[in-house]
Amino acid sequence: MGEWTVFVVDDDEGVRNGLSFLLRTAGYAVQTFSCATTFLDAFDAEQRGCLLLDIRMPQMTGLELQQELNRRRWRVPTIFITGHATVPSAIAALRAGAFDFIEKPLRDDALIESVARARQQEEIAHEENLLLAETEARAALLTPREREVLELVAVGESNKVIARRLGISFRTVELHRSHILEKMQARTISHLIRMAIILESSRSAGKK
Amino acid sequence: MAYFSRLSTAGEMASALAHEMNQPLTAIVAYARGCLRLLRAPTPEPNMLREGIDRIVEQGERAGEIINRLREFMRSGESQQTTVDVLEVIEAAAALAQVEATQNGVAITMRLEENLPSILVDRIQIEQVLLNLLRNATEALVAANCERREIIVEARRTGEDAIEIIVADSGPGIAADIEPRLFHPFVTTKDHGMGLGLSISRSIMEAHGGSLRLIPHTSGALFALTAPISDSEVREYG
Repeated sequence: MGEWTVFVVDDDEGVRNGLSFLLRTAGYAVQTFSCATTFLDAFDAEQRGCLLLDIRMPQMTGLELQQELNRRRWRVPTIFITGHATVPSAIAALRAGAFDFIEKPLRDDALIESVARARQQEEIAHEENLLLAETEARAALLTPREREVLELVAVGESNKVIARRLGISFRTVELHRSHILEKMQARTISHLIRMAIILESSRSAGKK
Repeated sequence: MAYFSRLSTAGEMASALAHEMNQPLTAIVAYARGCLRLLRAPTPEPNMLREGIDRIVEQGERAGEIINRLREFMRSGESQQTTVDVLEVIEAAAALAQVEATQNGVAITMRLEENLPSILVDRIQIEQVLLNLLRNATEALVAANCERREIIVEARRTGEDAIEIIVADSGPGIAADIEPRLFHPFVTTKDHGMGLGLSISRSIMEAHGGSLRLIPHTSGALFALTAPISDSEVREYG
């Protein structure tokens, strides 16, 4: 879904284009928006990138936009830019999930460095999401019984213990196990356990 | 920029100015840093460099424009100066400051001489200066958590051709280390202040041929401003 993009939202045309210019010289694809609303209209959760937001804008402020994105569950690293940083505004931004906070005018290469870190973080999160989606797709093929066996394998129980716990024969456990390895496309037992942990942690994160 | 004239105090005006100036400065720094990046490449792209430099010039001119408009606003051209009743202008500023004062338990007492001659000033600007002094006094009383919260405003004739207006408060006064720099820009004792209120206020008074000073006093802060008495027989306008 397109190139990794920095979305710049700032009501000041000069600032917006200046930031865009600087980011383009650093090799980033950039899209600019003059207000929160035009950005939300163009918003597509599939797009990958990070957000550069002026905290002080008429109508919808940067903080309000961040809250709206949280509500829509669009997880994109957000870097706030502010003309007059105060501790309360920084705290409010970080509480709302800001990735970073940069003051105007820009000091050193603060912006480029911050965007580079945001990209790193976004890429790690993206990889994790891909891995999770793939693992979930494989786990969907398991029967309820196989899922039970997998949970016990993941906590390190031996086939003997699993057989006793589930009231089935040792031979049946072995059979389930080979089906699980096959369906999960696990190369080794430790690979299988890693996948089981990924599934478990996403389930517990979902419950929160 | 048009909204400058609607802002109620010099302090707010200064804050708005800082925001206005920060925008072109941010753009200029961003373009300049971009150009430096381009120059680091083995073969810099001339078209993009030209675009960057064009924009630096454009944003620099924009900043100059802001300063020019501010100057025009501050210069208080003679055409804007009118004959103003001293008591009226003091009462107007006090009325604006009264809300904040009342909320904070601050009493404003007036000791105004009767039958004062009119002064020749830009009414809105003098109101801004007075309001700024009254708000500073109120904030100082609140910040120091003073028990007695009183502001005294006095007006009297001083010499042949000027009126003196005093704004004194019962607060802790101006700290000795701040005092020599009190009227310098960006000197402030407030958490949320730009430190431009008094420096702009003094510029406004001087542009009127008057003055704004801190008067040494045993307790609290005492500011005195002078403004020229209107003398339409001598001065001819238009």
